[in-house]
Amino acid sequence: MPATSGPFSAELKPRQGKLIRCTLTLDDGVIASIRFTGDFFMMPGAAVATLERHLTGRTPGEIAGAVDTFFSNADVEMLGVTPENFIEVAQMAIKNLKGDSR
Amino acid sequence: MDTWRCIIHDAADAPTNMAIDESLLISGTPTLRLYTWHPSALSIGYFQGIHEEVDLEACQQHGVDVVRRISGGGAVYHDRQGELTYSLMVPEQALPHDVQQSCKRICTALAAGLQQLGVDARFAPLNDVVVNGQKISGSAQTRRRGHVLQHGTVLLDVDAALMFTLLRVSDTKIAGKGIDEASARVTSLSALLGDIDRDDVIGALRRGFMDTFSVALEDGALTDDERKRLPGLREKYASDEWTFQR
Repeated sequence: MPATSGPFSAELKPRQGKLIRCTLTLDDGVIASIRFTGDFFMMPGAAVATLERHLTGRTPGEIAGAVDTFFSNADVEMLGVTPENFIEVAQMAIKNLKGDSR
Repeated sequence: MDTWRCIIHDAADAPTNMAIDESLLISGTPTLRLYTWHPSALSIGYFQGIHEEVDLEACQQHGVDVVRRISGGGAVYHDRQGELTYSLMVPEQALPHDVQQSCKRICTALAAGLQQLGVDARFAPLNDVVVNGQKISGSAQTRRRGHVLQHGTVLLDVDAALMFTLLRVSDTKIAGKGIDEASARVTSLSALLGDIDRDDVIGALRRGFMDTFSVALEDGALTDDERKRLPGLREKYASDEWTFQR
């Protein structure tokens, strides 16, 4: 894999939930940029950007733990999306980036 | 019985409408606002990627403004003639704390208003009002400093062909179904009732909110403080920095 990979995206529409997309790039095996977009609700609105900064610089293997830690500590209200959705869509984007979207 | 303010606004452009909603959210005075848009506009949710959701070239060709809301949720087409927008600003204590339950309560008020017009409107999770399973209203909520802003559409008439020209609808979202089938999931008051007078809709929605929340609604206007905030807020909503942030 080249040192810098991406951007690659994935999207997820959970049953009873709202569409969520993840677009990310890797640089030397760590997340260089990551962005979540979609139709979901989150309050405060700045929490998504804070989560993205929290994940930047981490390895793909650290995504699940980092997302869990973020939401455990953040005072956030959500509708249409769960912490698990953020993990799943980021991992789907990683799979797409690696060309493993079977 | 508490009294809330009710503001009926003339049509305004997209940045002005969003500026007014945010100014009302900042002030926190319990208010029901009903308004329209001129020119027609597409509003996108705070978390949406603008290029993922909107055909900007098509919007420009059709003279449709594009604005990013402070609330989450999906992209909404606000037709100049075919849509009435509501916004409700209340303290959090006036609603259930849970976001879904609070959204349901406000949507139930909308449905109660539409029922007065003779349509069997009902809340449908997460944030819609439907008639016979077809969506007639969608809402979006945000909260700040103990205040809740929920705003949304009531479809008076639908130009589904234009709407889906302006929007980029993900295959994931429509589960591979065609645009025709997606269009069939939306309805409007004119489709259900024939000719509809906007003032009748406004009156019905007012009654729906009064009955559901057991409040009186007193006609009012923006305060001086709310008006003073508008130029700065409008500038924000009209800026590329805000609109293209995601």
